[in-house]
Amino acid sequence: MTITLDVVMGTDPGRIDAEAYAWEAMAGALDDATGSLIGATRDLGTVWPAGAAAEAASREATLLRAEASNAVLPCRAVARALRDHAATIRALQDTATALSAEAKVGGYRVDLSSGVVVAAEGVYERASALSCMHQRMDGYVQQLQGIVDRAAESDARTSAAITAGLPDRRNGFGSAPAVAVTEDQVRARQGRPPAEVNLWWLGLSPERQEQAIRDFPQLVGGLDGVPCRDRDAANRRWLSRRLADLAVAQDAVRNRLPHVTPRSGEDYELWRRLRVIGEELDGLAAVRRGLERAGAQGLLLGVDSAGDGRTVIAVGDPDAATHTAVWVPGLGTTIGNTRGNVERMVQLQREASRAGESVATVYWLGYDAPEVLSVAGSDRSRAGAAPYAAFMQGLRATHDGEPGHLVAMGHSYGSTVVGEAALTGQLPVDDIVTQGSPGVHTDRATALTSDPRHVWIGSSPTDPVSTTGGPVMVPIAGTFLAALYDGVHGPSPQAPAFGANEYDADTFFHLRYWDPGSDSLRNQAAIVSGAYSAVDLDHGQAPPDWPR
Amino acid sequence: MTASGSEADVAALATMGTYIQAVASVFDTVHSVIPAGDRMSAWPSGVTLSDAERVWSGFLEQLADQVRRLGAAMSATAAAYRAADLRSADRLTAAGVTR
Repeated sequence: MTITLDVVMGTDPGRIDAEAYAWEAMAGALDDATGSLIGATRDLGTVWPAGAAAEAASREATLLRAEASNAVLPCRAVARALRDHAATIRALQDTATALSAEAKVGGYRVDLSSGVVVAAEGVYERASALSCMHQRMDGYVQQLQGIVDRAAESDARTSAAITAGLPDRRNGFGSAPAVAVTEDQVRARQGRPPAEVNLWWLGLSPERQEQAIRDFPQLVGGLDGVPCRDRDAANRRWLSRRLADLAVAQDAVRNRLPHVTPRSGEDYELWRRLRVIGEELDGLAAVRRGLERAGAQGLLLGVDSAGDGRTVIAVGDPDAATHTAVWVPGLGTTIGNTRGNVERMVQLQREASRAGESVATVYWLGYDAPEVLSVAGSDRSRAGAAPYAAFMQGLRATHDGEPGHLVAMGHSYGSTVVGEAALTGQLPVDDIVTQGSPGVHTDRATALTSDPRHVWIGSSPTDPVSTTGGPVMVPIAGTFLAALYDGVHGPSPQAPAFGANEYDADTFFHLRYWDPGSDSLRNQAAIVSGAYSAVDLDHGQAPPDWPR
Repeated sequence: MTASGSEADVAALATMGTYIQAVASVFDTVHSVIPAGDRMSAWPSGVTLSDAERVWSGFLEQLADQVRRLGAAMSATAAAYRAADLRSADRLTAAGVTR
């Protein structure tokens, strides 16, 4: 079988891509099945701990886990080789077509089936053209031959990759366990571009991924670029372990209290420790309650109890959903009020899914939200911008199949964080939505995104934080806050001069933009699901609906 | 677990065995995502790919079979423990040890 120009030009690269997709799907299915096998046999030693049969079964389970696990990456490598081959053939076809067009301009005809190059009659009539005719024709022929040679090289590379990925019929790719992932290796991925982290993670066998989740749950759970379901498994593991450790520590301190002298230095130290443990327990218990509110669709994408705490909880799977909105809360938020904020995401997800769209909403408390005295400053929004942008880049990297519709949302000071992230130019989103914004650190929507029709501002007429200049129910507070914020966070984005769309928000005051049945919620849901034409606008212009 | 393993462990082993057999069925379906048909027949790598599909199919069938046998062995062991326990109970009753 010989590669000819006819074969190169007659091949539909889309068909090779289809093979690549099929092999990628097979790798994914094998990965899932291996994950199930690992999960199913993990506790075998607990329920069947002793005896010759138990040992034999445990040995066999270990071998099968390794065999299945070791097969995933070679399978994925075949998919990658096919994808590269398709891209190479596509590029070579484009080169040949461009060559033919260029030749035609010079009076030559290149037959892309046979590779034959002929000069048009006009060339023979021009002495100047005639003198270099042979040279030109040889050049075209050589270039066409180069195209065929490169196609053959690509084909040989692809064959080699497929052959290298052939399993032995008896034991596949062997049952030797892959080298364990170390803490240093995981730490080295912190702060790296999420797309790079994603490649690293997908390059680990399922067994190694499972080991990394088991051994370093908090590190893996916080890595942007690790798929959402793996982050969820890691964070839930860390949360359970931390709650158990804290309960043990709390008991230990309580048991010591009766044995210390009242009001001694040691006594005060124990009470202080008891209070610290209790506060952390309360915060993490609040995260767990928020996760429970998200229900079966809940994914714990981030959790940390340091400081005021951090938590990220999804309602729905952002990697699988067509539409994902990631919402940043504002003033005074800590992990203590997780459940109420998750409730807002539950309402938004429910409303946005009403028309049958696949939607995930995410509560993102990945920054240290300001308190009353720091809300008029910009330190917290600046500090929150980079982790928020990295989280969004992570969702882009881990999304299954075609890129999804990604929406950045922020309430109150959270909108300032979103604005700050957008101003870096590193926020890869399709829409930006605010509720009750005090300002986004710019005076024009075009600074946030190239198409201002995708910036959506919501401001209740009775919201003193976002409403400036107009009639508000609390004119004194509103005027004061407006003056305060305008000087720090920029002018109000709902002003027509800002250039964004203002959607109708009919809810009362500053905290009820997610009330079920309200226009505020319905309009936000329409934006999240890409049904832009269904949004009631106070001013602005809706872009075309997100393609369905 | 020994013959004196707790009822809870035996039940867990039985459940695990059943689940692992279900996982085996998932391995059986892994290869089905490759559609039938020759889409790259004009390329030598296409021929290599067709051969590879057959080899992978055989490997995955073998893997599914081994997983299934492990699950079946666990289920059978759990059933044997239960049967042995029942026989012991019958013997104790017959010997008048239990009332």
